[in-house]
This record gives sequence, C-alpha cells and structure tokens, in this order.
Amino acid sequence: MKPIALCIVGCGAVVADLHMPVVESLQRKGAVNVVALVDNQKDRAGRFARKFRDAKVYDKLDEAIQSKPIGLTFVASPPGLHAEHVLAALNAGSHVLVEKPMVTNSIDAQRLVDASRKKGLVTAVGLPRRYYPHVAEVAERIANGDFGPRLTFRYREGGSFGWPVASDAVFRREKAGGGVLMDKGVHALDVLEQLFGAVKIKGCRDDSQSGGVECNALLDLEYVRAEGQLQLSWDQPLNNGIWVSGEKADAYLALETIHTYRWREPKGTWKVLPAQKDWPNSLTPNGPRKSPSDYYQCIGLQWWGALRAIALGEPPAVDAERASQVIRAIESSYRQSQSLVLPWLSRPEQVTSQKLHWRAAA
Amino acid sequence: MKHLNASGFEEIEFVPIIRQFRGLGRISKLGLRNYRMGDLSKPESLKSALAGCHAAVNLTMGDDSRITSDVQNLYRACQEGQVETLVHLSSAEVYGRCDTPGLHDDSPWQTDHWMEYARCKGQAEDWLRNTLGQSGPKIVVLRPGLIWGPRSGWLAEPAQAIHDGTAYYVDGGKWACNLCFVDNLVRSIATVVQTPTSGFYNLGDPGRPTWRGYYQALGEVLNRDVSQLTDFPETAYRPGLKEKLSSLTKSSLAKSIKRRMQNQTKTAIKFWLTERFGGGSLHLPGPSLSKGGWWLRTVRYQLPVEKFSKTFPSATLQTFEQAMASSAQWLTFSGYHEI
Repeated sequence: MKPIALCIVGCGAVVADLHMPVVESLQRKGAVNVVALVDNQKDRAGRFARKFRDAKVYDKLDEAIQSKPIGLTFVASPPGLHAEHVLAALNAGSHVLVEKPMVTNSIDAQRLVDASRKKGLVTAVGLPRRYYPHVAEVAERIANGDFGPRLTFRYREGGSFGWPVASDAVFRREKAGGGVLMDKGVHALDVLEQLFGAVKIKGCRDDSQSGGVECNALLDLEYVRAEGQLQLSWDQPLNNGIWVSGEKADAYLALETIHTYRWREPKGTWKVLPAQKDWPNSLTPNGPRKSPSDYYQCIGLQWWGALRAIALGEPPAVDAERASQVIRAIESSYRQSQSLVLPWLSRPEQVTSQKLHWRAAA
Repeated sequence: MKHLNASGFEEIEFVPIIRQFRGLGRISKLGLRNYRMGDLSKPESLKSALAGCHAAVNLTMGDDSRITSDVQNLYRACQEGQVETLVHLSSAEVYGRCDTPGLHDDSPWQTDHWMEYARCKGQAEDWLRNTLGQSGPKIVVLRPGLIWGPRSGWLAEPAQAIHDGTAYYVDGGKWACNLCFVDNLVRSIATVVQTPTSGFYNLGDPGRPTWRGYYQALGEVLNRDVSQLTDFPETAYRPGLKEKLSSLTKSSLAKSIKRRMQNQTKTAIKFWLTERFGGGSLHLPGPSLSKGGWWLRTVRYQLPVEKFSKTFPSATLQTFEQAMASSAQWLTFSGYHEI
C-alpha cells in the first residue's frame, strides 16, 4: 500500500514531545510519508524537515494544500485555530486527525461534523485515553453488570500545569475557550463517556475570576446509570484517579498506571488486576495488536486507528460527532458555572472569590 | 496573590515575573493583567521585569547549579533598578539534619551536605552574607523548613502515602519535623516586604511536632489508623538499584548531557524505553525507605525561629494545630479522605 501523504500543521511542543517519535516510526514502516510541515514560525517546522526526505516547510496551510496532494492532515495548531485548519483540510479533500480539543465551541464543532459528512472524509480526534486498557476493560465490566445496576463515581485529576506552551494563548478564554476544563476536562469527559455514555451536566463550579480562565473546576455529572463528580486542577495536587462504585463491586483506576486497575468486592480487600485490552498496531486487516502500557503507546495506537479509518474504513476511536458531545458538555458547564468554594480559605477570602467570579462579573 | 489580597495586605501590589509561559498556568484564574517575563539567568531581561517594584522576592526553582548565579543577577538588577528590598528564599535544609544543638540563624551551614540543592543554597547564602552592607537593596534571607499546607507537597504527599499504604516512620517517628505552614511563609514574606530588616531568618511553625505527631494529626483528619505504620530503624537505609541509578542521572555529567539534549530526543528515549520495558506490578505498593525520606525523618533538632518573631513582631503566625485545621479542609476538598 502506498504511504499516505501527511501534512503536519503546528509544530510546537505537542508535536515535538508526543507525536514526532510515532510519526518517524510510521514513516519508517511506510505507513505515511511526511510531505508538508506548517507553522507560522518556520524555524519550528524546519527543525523536523531534515527527518523527512519529501517534507517541505510552509508558514500557511493554504500554501501546503495548493502545492501538493495531501492524504491526511494532522492539526496540532493552537485550539483557537483548529476549526479553520480542519475545514481547510477537509475542503481540500484531505482526511484529518486533530489534536484535542477538536474546537473550542459547539458551533464550530457542528461545522466540522457537517463538513466531514458532506465530503465523506475521516475526521479523527486525538484523545489517546480511548486506548487505556484499564478504562476499556472497566467499561466492559460496567456494561456486563459486574458493578450492579446503579453506579457512583469520582474522577479527580490535579497537578501543576507543565506544558511548555509557546505563548499565553492557552490561558486566554477568547483564544482557548476556557482553562483546565477545556484542557484536562476534554480527556476526562471523553473517558467518562466511554465508561457511562451520554452525560448531563447537573452543576459546575470553577475558580476563574473576570478576565481569567479556571485553574480548578468541579462538575456534578449524571448518566443513565451513574452519577458522580469530576474534579480538575491546574494548580494543585488532588487524590488523582477514577473511583467507580456499585453494589457488587468497586474499582479504582490510576491515571498513570493504565494496564492494571484495583478491584474490590463488598467487604473484600483491594486486588490489583491486569488490563489486557488490545488494539490493531498496523494497517493489516487481521494483523498484530498491542495492549499499551503508557501514554506514548496510546498515541501510537491512535495514529494506527486514524490510518486504518482512512485505509480500511474502520470507525476512528473518536470522530467529530463524538468529540462534539464533549464540547457541548463543556459549554453547558460554563453556562451553569458558579464560584467554586475553597473551604480552607477564610470567610473574607471566600467572599472576595465569589464577588470576582467571572460569571458574577459578567 | 489572591490570599494576600484578601487578608489584609491590600497595600501590596503583586507582580508575577515568569520565565516561561507555562508559569501562568497556576495563576491564570486571576487573569493575565500584569505579569512580566524575566529570567534570572538573563540579566538583560530583569530590568523591565523589575521596573517600578519596591521589593523582589526570589521564589525560583530549577537547576541547583544556577542558584548562586541567579541570585547574583537578581541582586545586581535590584541595585540597578533601585529596588529597595531583595527577599531570597533559602532553605532550612542548609543545616542538614541539625545534628548540633544550639544552632542559630547565623550559624554556618553544612558545607559537606550530600544534597547539591542544599550546598547551592548555602553558597548563595554565603554570597549574600558577604554582600550585606554594600550600597544596594536590603537583603532578607528566609529559611523555611518543609513547606506544607493546602496545595503543598508536604501535605499532599504524606496524605497520599497514608492513603496508599506507603507511609512509614523512622525510629518510631521520634525526630523533629521542621514544618513551615504555607500561609505562615506567605505572611512572613509579606511582613518582611513591608518592614524589611536585613538578615538571615529561620522560619517554622509555632509548636512544630515530631514526625509521629505530624502523621498522627494527619491520620485523625483522614480517619486512618497510623499507629501501626511500618517503622524502619535509623540504620535500615541502604541505597537500592533505583537510587543508585538515580544518583548516576543526577551526576554533573548526566545533567550536562541532559541539558544539551533536545526535548524531542528525551521523548524518543522515553518512548524507546517504554516500548521495550513497559510493564507493571500486580501487587499493591508498600513502604520503601528512600535516602531523602530517611534523612528528613532523622533530623535531630528543631531549628530555632525566635529571631524572626523578635525582629518582625507584627507577623502573626498560625500554630501547628490551627494550620492543621485548614489543611483538613483542603484534604477533604482534594479527595484524600476517600479510600
């Protein structure tokens, strides 16, 4: 099979740190051929060009599209530009793999869904946690009724923001669409969708002041068979992980260790169980499969998933339609948002926080 | 910043100076109105960063070998920019395990300390001490102990360890736990900025406990029995393979190679290692005695902190019990009460 001509849009930290080793490996295996690297800072794109014999560097996506046929466009530009870049690629007849968040609002999300459908092209969304074996396995056990009919859950993910971002755009609501909810929240809501199905936002509290974006968010969520809370932070540690409880069993899924999970039956003690769910690891229809043990391997499987969607017509793990549900959930959260109470602060501090909350000021 | 603004320090206007944009992540809720870019290793960046400021507080973390040169650059930038006060955060770790009774705020630091961090902090102190009295900004050096409290590692990590079953004592937890509550640190900084008196000051909470006392207080808050934690004798520490490897990667040569390596290369190495050696244990974790854990749990004496309270009587610091009460609220908020 001829390698798929690949264009990479946005050559910043995400591409350098997460995707480039995978892309190089795909190129060596003949699955892709990188033909275009696009970044408005040409030197950032240029540092990758020497790795790929046929790659040319562009500062605008339009120039790349007009110069050569492209089979797949990987969009890793700042989130505020995703809609423009994905639509340009689709209109040029290219399939798309876009980094999360797919877009920053539901209107753009629908435009992408419509364009993808109209053109008959794949729009796969980069949410590698879809390939976490422990999440996939616990999702199956939930579906099998191993926990019982009704479930409760807690999902916590906190820690200092650490991405080596190239500008302050990610901290500006008008450019990024929001803060930690638009960043970690996109992953978390997608994982919860995988576990429990379609979400209804029952409440949202965050700590953003006027002019800022939230560093902390706490959501009350409801699903057909489950209810619980999602707590996210950019500025403090939390007791991280996913706890799922039912009358027949409890499970705990760590966020870092993805190939095991803890399982406990009523009055029992915690046991560590292996999670061995696997996914295709090549373009061969019944070829080798892999059960990933870390995030990098999940990124690799995500790429294979997108390539198989193009070459074999298999559905991608997350398409534009599915990603739109998360964007709509985040928008709903922001519409309902109230000031997050930080109970360890003094009363005057809490009152000040409430007064300065971005929704109160609006 | 928000804490200070809502707690009686309204007259202080805070200007965050960041080296990289990611530093905004922790303050982005406040809006990006007044941040400035500045890098202590690039003196030319500091002039505009410090413009109009009356005091500069050095809270930087990172490469230990740069601690002294960074503080030198900051001092000179303060001098040139007529900044009146330089507050430098050193560490109680410069005194190591405080083996000697009678240590005071101006005692010499432990020059043969095994941690590069502590030696570099000590060397920076030496330079600042030699600079005291020159025509420049007032110099206030603060030496907090283990910073704990809401959002802090020395609260979250012991709570996580109790939660995970990896917490432990050394020598029954009888030795000194030199804690400094984060709000006490912030209040101390605000006080010295408002009424600066040059000098070197240890910082610690009134009524600091032993390690057993600290864990017992945490256990009560978390509703967990900590009386039966694994108790290692002081002599139990032996470096394991992981720590031997870790000391190799912390060598000057390894650090120098790492500094020169592009992020992309580091990622590729990680990618290669996990492809080949990824795997995991099917056992619940247990206590494991690290060198740092052993060292900190065998600190002999509490550092005296009276010099600070005598010099800055307006600083009202919370006792350990008061600090634990607000920490308990944070632990619940952050989910550490759940098993």
